[in-house]
Amino acid sequence: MKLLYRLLRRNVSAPQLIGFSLVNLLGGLVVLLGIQGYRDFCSFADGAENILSKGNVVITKPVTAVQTIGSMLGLNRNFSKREIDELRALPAVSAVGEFVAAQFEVKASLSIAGSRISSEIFLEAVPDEFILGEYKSVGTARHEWSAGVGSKRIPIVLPRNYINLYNFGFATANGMPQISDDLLGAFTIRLYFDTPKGVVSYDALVCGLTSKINTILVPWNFMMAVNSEYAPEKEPEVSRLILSTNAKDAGDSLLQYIDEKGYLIEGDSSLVRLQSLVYGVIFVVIGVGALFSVLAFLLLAVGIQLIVEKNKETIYNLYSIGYPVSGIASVYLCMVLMADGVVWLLAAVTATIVYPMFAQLMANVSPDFAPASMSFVWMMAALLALLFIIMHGAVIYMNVKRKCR
Amino acid sequence: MIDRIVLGNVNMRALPDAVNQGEPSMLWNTRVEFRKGESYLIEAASGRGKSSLCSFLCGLRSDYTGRISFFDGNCEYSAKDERAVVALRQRGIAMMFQEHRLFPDLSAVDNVMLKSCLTGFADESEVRGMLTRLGLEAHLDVPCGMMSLGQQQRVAFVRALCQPADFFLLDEPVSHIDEGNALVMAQMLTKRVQNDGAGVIVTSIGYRLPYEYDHILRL
Repeated sequence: MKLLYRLLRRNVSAPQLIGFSLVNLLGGLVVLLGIQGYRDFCSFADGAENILSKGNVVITKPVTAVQTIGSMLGLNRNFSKREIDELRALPAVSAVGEFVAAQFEVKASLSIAGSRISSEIFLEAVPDEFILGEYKSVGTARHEWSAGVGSKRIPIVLPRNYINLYNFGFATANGMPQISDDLLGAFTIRLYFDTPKGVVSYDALVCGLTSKINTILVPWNFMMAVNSEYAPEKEPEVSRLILSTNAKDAGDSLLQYIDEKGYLIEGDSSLVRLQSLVYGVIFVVIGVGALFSVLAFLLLAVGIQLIVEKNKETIYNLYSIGYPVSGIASVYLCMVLMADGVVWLLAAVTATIVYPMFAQLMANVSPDFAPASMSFVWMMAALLALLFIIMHGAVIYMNVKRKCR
Repeated sequence: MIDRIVLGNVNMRALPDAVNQGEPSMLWNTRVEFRKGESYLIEAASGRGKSSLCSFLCGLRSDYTGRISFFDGNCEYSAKDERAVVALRQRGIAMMFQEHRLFPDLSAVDNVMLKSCLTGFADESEVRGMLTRLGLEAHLDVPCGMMSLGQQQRVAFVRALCQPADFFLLDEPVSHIDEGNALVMAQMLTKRVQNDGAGVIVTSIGYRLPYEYDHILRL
């Protein structure tokens, strides 16, 4: 075999091999980093409070100057039954919930450190299946998410940004104490309902905070009961909807539909768009890496063809004296095995070294970003190396066989 | 193992009329049988297809009409598929090419060892001994590209001997060899044939290998 190697490795161009190896190393590294980045970002996006990949999304119609004038003239900008039914029919939507507001005026009063805060507020409710799991409980007491007319205490969920507004705006400016999440559960808010039957008061306990639904929420059965009790003649209008999405890949199609209809997504829509952008960037990165790898693959394949062409007389003479095609091809196959194997091994090693640095950067930006193990990258590197070796091997065997005829 | 080779109405596909030039051929377009243990001299003028016939016999070319069959008892083989051809060249037919087919960058010893390593027939010292016997002691490690045609022919002959064989097929083996070396080659061939009981097929354009031929065939 030593003699065979000596004979056949003539015309093997070292610069060509090095060039192939460098291009393939670069391409392979980018592909592997892209794959790992994609996996980690998927996990991150799944774990994050991502409204389209799982859970709920709140949509509204946009408010423009024209619509403001229209609403002053009594024109309806709420969701119609037909629009709601259309949304229900979307494959990406598993359920649609309506926001129902209290059909009477509501005032709230809260005493903090001897100071009393009083304000007109509004209350809304969404069906229970949309609110459960969407808020973070506060305080130590756990309240049943249910109430009725005459209940002594009503559980409510506040938007987190309300508390932030109080803590970092109102409290700071007025010298009042800030309220922690744990303490919030200890406060009782007095609610006054201005109804045709007179002012009715209820005590409300904050049982949770949500950063996804931007309203003060009360239980659905309570809202139905009080509206029916205190404003039976009024038909609630639906200006906001909460959608439950049912498929991870439904994000884009739902987003497209919402864009087409001119609806607005509350809260996390920027995250959704950012997520699409990041996925796009990752795919472009993987695509560029794959392009480099394919070019490197072709470079070596053409290089092999040239070497075989230059050695065609030698190959034919070897075949003439009894060397089988596979024996002759094995020399070039070993060369390719080394080139492909070493390159993908180096790519995997470099990715394993480089990726944690990138992951650290991501973790600095978002503490929730937790990189997965690099085992998948190693598996992919092994698979791609095997694929390259098999395909290069086939190119070698076919070319050598052709020269033996 | 091959005990006979049968040519059934074989003719060159590319130059079928070449057989009609000069004397009638005893090989083309007829049935001929080469038997193991017997020796054959195929004589012909240049261009009558000696080298083509050799290439057909060792499976290097298949551009012929008719049929070439290799028999082991009653078992018949053809040299159409690659595995059969490789086996034929490694163990069945030891071929010495008219154009030598040596590797110019390799030394005389390495050229022979390239074949011997494949067949496991002789070690380097034996190879050196055979080459020395043919007067190549000063050229053992000289690249074949720097040798004369006669020296190259002797290297090619030694290479042909370095394998087990049922038939030795030598295409104009002494066209560039002096009488003394031709005699040594004949002695070496005789010894191998006596050991192995192989058949011998030698082609010649006129100056023949001094060997005791059982049959002389005109192509």
